[in-house]
Amino acid sequence: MSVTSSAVKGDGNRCSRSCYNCPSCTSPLQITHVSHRDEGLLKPNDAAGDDETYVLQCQFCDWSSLEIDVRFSKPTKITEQLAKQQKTRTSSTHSTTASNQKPLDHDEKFTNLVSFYKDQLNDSGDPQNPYSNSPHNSPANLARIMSLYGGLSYNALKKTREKPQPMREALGTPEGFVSFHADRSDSELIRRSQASGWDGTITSEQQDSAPSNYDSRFNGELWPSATQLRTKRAKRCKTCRHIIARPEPNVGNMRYKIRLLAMNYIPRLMLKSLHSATPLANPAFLLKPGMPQADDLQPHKAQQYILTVKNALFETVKISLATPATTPGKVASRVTILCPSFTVGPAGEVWDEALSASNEPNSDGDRKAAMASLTGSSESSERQPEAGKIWEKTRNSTSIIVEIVPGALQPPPSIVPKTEQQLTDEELGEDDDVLEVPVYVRAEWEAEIKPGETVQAKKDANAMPGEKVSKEIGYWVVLAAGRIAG
Amino acid sequence: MTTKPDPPSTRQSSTVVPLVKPTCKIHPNATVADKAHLLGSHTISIDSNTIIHPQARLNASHGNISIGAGSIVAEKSVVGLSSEPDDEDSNITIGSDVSIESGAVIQARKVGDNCTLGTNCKVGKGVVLGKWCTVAALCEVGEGEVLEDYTVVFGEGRKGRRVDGVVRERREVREVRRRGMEMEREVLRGIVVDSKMKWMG
Ligand SMILES: [Zn+2]
Ligand SMILES: [Zn+2]
Repeated sequence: MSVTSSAVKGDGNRCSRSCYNCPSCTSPLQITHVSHRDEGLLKPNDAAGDDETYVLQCQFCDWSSLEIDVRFSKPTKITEQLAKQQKTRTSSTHSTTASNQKPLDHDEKFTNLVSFYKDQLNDSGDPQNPYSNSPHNSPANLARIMSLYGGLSYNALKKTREKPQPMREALGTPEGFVSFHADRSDSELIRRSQASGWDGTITSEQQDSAPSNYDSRFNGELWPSATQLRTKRAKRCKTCRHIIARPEPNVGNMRYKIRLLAMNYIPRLMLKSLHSATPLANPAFLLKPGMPQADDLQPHKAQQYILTVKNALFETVKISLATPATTPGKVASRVTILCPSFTVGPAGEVWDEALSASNEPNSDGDRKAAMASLTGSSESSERQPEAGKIWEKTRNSTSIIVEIVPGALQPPPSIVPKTEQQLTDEELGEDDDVLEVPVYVRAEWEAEIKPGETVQAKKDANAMPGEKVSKEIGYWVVLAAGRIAG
Repeated sequence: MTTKPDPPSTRQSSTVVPLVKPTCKIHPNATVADKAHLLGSHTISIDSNTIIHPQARLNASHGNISIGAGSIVAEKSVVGLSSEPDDEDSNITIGSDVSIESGAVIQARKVGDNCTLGTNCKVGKGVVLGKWCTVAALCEVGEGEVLEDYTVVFGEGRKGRRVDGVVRERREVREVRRRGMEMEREVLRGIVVDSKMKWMG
């Protein structure tokens, strides 16, 4: 549930609906139904508890509102019901201990104080005038002004003189003033803490959980604390203003689960130009259109790109890529993946990666790459991409070459005059000039069943821990290469 | 990707299928899944209506394990001493109607009736839990701790423990819990395929 900032200003920073946290351990409380039959078991003639069959229950530490003997008649408007019960609770203790002048609780003291000082402000003259010692407010000046107009009796004058009294401070309980006095409740507290011991008292964190718990001292005196509201924090991409990261408040929902899977399982694809002098800054953010770095693409001029697939899994995966021969949309570009199926090595610890970075070029399979790195990149750029060959391979990433021939923005001129319909069809909308390539990625791998892992697929039901099962995922991605020059 | 999904050490230890089969005394009404792991050379006794999930591990390598009636031992939980005990009392006694939730690691000497041991909680060696105790998810009870009846463990230290007055004072709350267990067992009996004969033979 989201609350507008204006509502927060008015109602405070706690949820005013039915969200409550456990005062004992801070996890969210659940509204739980307690059946009538169970009530009957314990108290057959308890009339009050008859229709109150809901309680707030903590799923973590088993705290329930029964601890403070609070039940609800309906599972909605918990705040209202709770406030009502709290009020009757405090007022009843007041009536029984009225003779002892039991101190009011914080809320009452505060409302008394507020009303007292409001009255004081009204009495002490013009509330619109904050400068109470301005010359017009002093009795002498007032008297002078009044005498100028004349016609006022001495008594009336005296009255007006008396009227702007200086503000006085609160005195007494009805005005919200409470003085400290050692009363019986202190010795009572000492007696109770002697009886319950350290374990029977609550912690200061628990006291601070809600204003209603500030005065609580013992277990069984804690009231549920209304859930504090939180701001939603999202991060936007600096270039394209897309939201990159947004905390998910509801971790149980499907979209979150899909994203979580994507983060941990899906091989990551990066596209960069083979001949580009400047490497693209952060490939993760360049999957979106509107990148400023990329030069505009020339129509009909074949461009070669390095497509790198990085593996996030700890097993070697077999990747198959598929793409339509021409891109969909108004501007059709031809796309050829030179090596559509290959394998990508397993991911490892960050430490492995750091070590392999220094070792990799020395392995004999990559002598060429080593040479390239020694003599500079000029040699590697002279290398010719070949069909069916992998361009570059590191421990957990494999690069291949993709050839793209951008289509023309302007349709070929035709001799036959075009119809209205054709013309509107040919008109390019915003971002229609962005070259985007849909790619279907299929990853297959053999996973070892870890002991205790539940195997979803039926055919694997007999697999034992330690055995290998083949798994696969497939998904579509869109790679954006840049804008086509018009 | 900074973490491996599974440290190699646990993977190795569990792929080694133990050759020693424990002596099993399983009540005819109990349900023990085919893929539960019962290992060790000591005796494992399981009383009536108790349900042992697949992938639950009862490790009787260092002492006997007895599980009372109507208890549930969930998947990925481990009951049993992981190493040689410090004293001669190496047996584990779990009461009736005890719910051991998934991933819990229980090495306690005694777990009282109607206890709930939450997901991925750890109960150390030599611990004695009273009746109706609850160890909340991910919480730990250190070695040798003794908890009185109705204790709830929801955090660390003494302030993470509390005696649940509601459960202690109110019979209806206990009744609700009991019925919850009963319903859970009923559902599980329909799902978990029993193959206790595999362990009895
Ligand atoms: Zn809310
Ligand atoms: Zn709680």
